[in-house]
Amino acid sequence: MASLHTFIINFGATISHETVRHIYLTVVAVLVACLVAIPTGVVLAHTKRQGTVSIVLGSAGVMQTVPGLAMLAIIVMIFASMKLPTIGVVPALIALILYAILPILRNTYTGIKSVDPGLVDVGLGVGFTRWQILTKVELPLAMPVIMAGIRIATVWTIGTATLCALIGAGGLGDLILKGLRSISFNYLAAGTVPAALLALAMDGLLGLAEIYFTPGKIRRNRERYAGSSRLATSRVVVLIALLAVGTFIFIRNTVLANHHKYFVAAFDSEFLIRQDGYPGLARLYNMHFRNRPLQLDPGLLYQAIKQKSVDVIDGFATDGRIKAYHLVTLQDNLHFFPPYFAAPLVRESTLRKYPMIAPLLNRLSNKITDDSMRAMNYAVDNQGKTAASVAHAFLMQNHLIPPHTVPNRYRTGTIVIGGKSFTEQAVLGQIMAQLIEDNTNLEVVTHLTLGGTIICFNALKSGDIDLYPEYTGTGLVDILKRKVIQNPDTVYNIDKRVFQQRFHLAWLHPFGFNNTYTITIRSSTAAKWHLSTISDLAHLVDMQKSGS
Amino acid sequence: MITFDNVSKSYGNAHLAVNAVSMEIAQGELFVLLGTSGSGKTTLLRMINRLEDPSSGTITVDGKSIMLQDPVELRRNIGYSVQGTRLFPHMTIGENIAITPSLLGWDNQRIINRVNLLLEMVGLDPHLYVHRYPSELSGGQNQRVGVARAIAADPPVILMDEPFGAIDPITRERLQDEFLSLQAQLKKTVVFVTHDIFEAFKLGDRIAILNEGVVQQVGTPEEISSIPASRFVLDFLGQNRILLLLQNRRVNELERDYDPVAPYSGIDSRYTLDAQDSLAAALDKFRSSHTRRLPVRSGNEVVGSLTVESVTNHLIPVDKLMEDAV
Repeated sequence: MASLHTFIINFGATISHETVRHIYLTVVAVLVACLVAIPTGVVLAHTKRQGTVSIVLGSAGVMQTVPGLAMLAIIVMIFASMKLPTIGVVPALIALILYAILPILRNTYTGIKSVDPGLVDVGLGVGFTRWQILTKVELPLAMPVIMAGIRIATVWTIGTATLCALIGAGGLGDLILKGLRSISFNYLAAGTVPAALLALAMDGLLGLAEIYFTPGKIRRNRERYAGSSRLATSRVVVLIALLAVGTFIFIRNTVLANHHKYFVAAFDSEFLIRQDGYPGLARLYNMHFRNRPLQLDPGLLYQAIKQKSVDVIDGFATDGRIKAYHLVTLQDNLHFFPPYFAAPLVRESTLRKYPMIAPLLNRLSNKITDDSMRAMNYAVDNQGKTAASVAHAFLMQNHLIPPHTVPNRYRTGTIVIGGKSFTEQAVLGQIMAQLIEDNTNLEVVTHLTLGGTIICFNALKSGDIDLYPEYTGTGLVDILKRKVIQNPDTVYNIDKRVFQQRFHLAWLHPFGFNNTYTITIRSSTAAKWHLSTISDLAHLVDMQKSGS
Repeated sequence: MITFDNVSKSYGNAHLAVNAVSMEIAQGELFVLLGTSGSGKTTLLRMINRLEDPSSGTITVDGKSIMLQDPVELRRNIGYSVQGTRLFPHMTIGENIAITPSLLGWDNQRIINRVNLLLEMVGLDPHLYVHRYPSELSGGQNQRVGVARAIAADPPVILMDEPFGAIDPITRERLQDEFLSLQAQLKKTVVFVTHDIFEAFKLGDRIAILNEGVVQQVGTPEEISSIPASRFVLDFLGQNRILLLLQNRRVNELERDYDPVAPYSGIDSRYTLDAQDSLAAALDKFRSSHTRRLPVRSGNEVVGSLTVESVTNHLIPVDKLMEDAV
């Protein structure tokens, strides 16, 4: 693991940046949850309406049972329907807050309920007001229990916050996702270890705060409650570690070492549901695998097929790993896939506000060939380069940015660039970002790990981002729900016209390469079964099923 | 000092927890509310500092109707002590005692002096205990602190709800004695709730016996043990009645039965009745001296002699009186 050492040196800044962001997400979420849950718990503990109590505690409990990932998805959907921001910190925080509320609410309620009613009675008898009873008797006595709730909530939040990277909120989840997508143990460790340490540190810190806040001799009782939160900490730490390592090993060994009689297909989640993806493909070619195709993260597909755990994947024409892993793409002999020329998709309002953007981005027109895109993707996926450095080299080589840029401190506006969470989008996003940043006075913010087409497109429509790279075929079939058309110019023109009319979004000039979906298999498989077209594959799959 | 005028309390159903109680508690009196659980004695007590409000009727303290006073103000001027002490576990002994004085806005030095004085009064060394927490003290010590807290702001009225309830008999006995001597100095108006007949008769200047919210009898211990006012009181006292009589009646009440001739004049206090001895103490002396006749002394002077029969005979006419009264 000598490379881990270098990795830490190279990515130390990123790790600490994401850690700080993670802490920020956690602290804000827990604080807001406290502000909501503690007063609510106090009110619940004093109300005589048992019905209200069970409804509130019950619904908070139900909220807790929703898996973290689903909670994010639900928040994003609700926000989308309300035209609120669907990416970034706000929806992530809302999900985290909802998660953190229950333990604090329940412990506040229990803590106050467990105060001896006789003490409250005596408190009144010696002349405390109701408010003084709360602040001088009930809250101090309930403090250890409330603090235990806050500790549990904090540790949970640190764990759940790793998921927020999926909607562009950043944090250590970013690193974990990168690790998962590129099967890089370094990234995985860079995200997981700080998350686990963070959970331990926060729990310890809150433990000290608990001692500080707990008055007098009831500290003795602390151990009773601390036990539960310590348990939660270790549980979450173990959970994060297990999840990370487990996924890693699972993919490396179990899936990848699978030997089988039938062809096994694996596709990414978007391909599995898009009309220009597997459903349409299976219909047109009448190709039905014996086992339902697996759903894998785009970053894992190549690893899986290389290690022979699956035989068929969806690939991108410009993916460098096709060649590097000795894979071949099958010919789309029935012309199922539309052309997918990538181009910047920009809000018209942004173009009006910053008129220099369009001519600047159009300088990228036809600058990137299939081969150069493939080379750039390969450099990131397999040579350990960052998207930013690859983008920089490309821009320098094509003289698109001045050779020596002076850091510009006087920024006059901000452009937010989005990108779907795969390598090519990160590279294109970085190219556009650096192009704008080095040629204008605009500040550029990037969200280059947004979940997929729908998330990016919604974020663009709502104005959370100003532009992102989109593919003409995706625009036509996936967004506009039109039938497949093969002529690239026709597709581009339809996209351009309809997006402008319907969404006030502009397609700028295409970069030049066509990143079509491909059905990809190992070249050894192709040679063994004489496969060259998708029809060949469909036929073979059918034969395997009928057992001949 | 405290008057109840036709006070009733119901909790929303037909049953009355307190039923038309009218009585008066005098200034400086140690007044005991005696009854079984559910008799309404605690409810009656809690109505005095408005922890409960009566459904009908009026209560006055020092001539003023309590319903016209702010409950929080009222409570700060009435001491309150309950069973099991209920000291606040997160406050030191000193802080517990200081609550009401500081709520009343006393200055710090006055509070500190008061706390130290009170700890001394209840027999705890201030230096040793003021910064301790209740969990570090024994039950009996905590109970003393509970009494100190109740009288901390020097209130004219103190309410005590079975304050010595959950304590072992020997310690309880001692706390009762200490409390009596404290009360002899302070002369507070104390309303004291208990279900323990012997505690009631030992402490009470007067006793009210309650059953199902109704006051069955109010009177001094002597009056109640001599002339129970109802069948309930008779049954309630039960076999204890004879013990109470023996404890509450004194030898000098039998003056008519004195025989002017003393059996002998050699005075040994173990074998001489004192005019102030209870009848129980007198019987014990007959038993231990193995005689049926003992001299009676009043002060240093032997005033005659008494036979054991005259003591036992004394109980019988009283018994008849009780039956007649009922």
